[in-house]
Amino acid sequence: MAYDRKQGEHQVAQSSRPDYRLEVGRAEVPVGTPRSFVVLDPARAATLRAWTATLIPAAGRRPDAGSVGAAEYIDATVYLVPSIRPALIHAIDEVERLAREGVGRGFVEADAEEREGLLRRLEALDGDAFSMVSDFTYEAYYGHPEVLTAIEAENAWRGNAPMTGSSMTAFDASQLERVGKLPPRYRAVESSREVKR
Amino acid sequence: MSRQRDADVLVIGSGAAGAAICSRLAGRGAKVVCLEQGEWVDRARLPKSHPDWEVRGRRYWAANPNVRRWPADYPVSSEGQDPIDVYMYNAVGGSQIGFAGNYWRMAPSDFKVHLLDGVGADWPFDYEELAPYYAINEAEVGVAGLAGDPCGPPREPLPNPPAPIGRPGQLLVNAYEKLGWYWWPTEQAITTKAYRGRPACDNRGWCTFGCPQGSLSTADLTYWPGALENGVDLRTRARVREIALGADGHAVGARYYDQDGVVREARAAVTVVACGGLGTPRLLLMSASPSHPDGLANSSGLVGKNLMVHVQSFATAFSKSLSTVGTAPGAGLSRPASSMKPIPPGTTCAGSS
Repeated sequence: MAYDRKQGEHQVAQSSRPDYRLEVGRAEVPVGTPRSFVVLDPARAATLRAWTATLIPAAGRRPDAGSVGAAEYIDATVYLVPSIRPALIHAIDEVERLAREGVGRGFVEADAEEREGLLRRLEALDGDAFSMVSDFTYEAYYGHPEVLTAIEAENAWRGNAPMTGSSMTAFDASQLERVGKLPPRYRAVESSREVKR
Repeated sequence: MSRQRDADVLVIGSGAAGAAICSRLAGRGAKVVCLEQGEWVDRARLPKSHPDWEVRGRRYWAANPNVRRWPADYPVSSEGQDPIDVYMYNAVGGSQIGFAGNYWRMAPSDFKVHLLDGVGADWPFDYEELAPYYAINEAEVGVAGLAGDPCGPPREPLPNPPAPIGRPGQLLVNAYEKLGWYWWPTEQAITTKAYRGRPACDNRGWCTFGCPQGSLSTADLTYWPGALENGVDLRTRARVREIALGADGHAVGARYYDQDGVVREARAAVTVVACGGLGTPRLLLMSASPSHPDGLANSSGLVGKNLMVHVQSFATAFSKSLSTVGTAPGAGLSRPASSMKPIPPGTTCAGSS
């Protein structure tokens, strides 16, 4: 049995809906690439953008997640992985329903505190969908060049170091002067019958 | 199907073990065929070739085949109270293509756990018998490290110097020295200097996300170029269905699906199953027949049972003052307590990785 012939027949997690963590495995959605919405209609797209901006609001030099294309990234992901589209669309509609019932207007029109409260309610109602949007938002955000630049300015962490590398400083073996003089510390096996400890 | 032998030796699996076997035997004149269900890794697709390497690393490059789902992958269930996190790749080079490069030898006591501690079973050979072959493999791979570790038996110098420990490592070393603790730079399959046509590591770190420049010593880069030069017939996208048996019950080769799904048979005087900790028992069990109803080599009934996993523990800390160092791969490492002498009171032996 192989995944090319048995796609979708094997489920590790027990769930009434596809586990997004498994379903997105082969999806390749480059982060930081400008793109438009393909799956979501404009109203749902606006809700999702506001949702991602609520999860990661702007702080200092860091932009909010909505302004760096996190919602478009999620849209592109569910375009490539159709099996998880229903969960996303249902969750967006739930957020809107909660907003209409809870604050009397749409999620986009709610203020920051109200949005956070609404998302907490959604998390309690549909933890899987909330986690899915959160995970994808983190993916889109913390790989985005604009965010990485802001983080490097804050604390010098270089997110692109694994692409660019850095100079190698030779190991200083003189540091082992003390440890190298320790007596043998391994359990020697003299023979199959004689054991020296 | 042809009844002629295709080769002297048929090797199933092109990973760390299969690649080494192919290379060594072909280098001595044997005619070798290797069946690999995966393909060559496209180095342009390695996560670290892209700025969003972390995302790619947990999607199509994920170590878990249930997540990654390459065409060559098959489902692996991990269930029960403490399910393991499956970590394997199916490609030329096997699971090494996603490994971290840690490459230490087993300790002498690891071969005699029953004799020493009354658990498990002893290996049929000891460390001293295996040590020369460790050295051969380390030379082929270009292992980095330093001889003289008091927690291991005497050994010859390693082919490459240790990787740098970086500023975080230095912080730990300073602490070990202050406390009088044991530490030692670990052996790693990384070319810390240019070695046999491969460039020196440039300190990108995060080795499990692939090494675009090829300083991480994976089998597709270490053994396979020479093996192919020596005439090994490597057949990729060749998924073995079962070991073929002769009338006398001995293996005569394997039946496999080629890249078009056509069942073919490869025959050889010797068949080597080198499919890893999961793939090897899987294939042996899939090779059940009327003469071997419980699978091949399974008279004990233990094939596919008692899997020993590689346990890893991590401690993570964040420090603004150390974050400018990039991602140094070097490490100071302790030896597991089971391979060391009992520690006298007042003495501490510990480290980090």
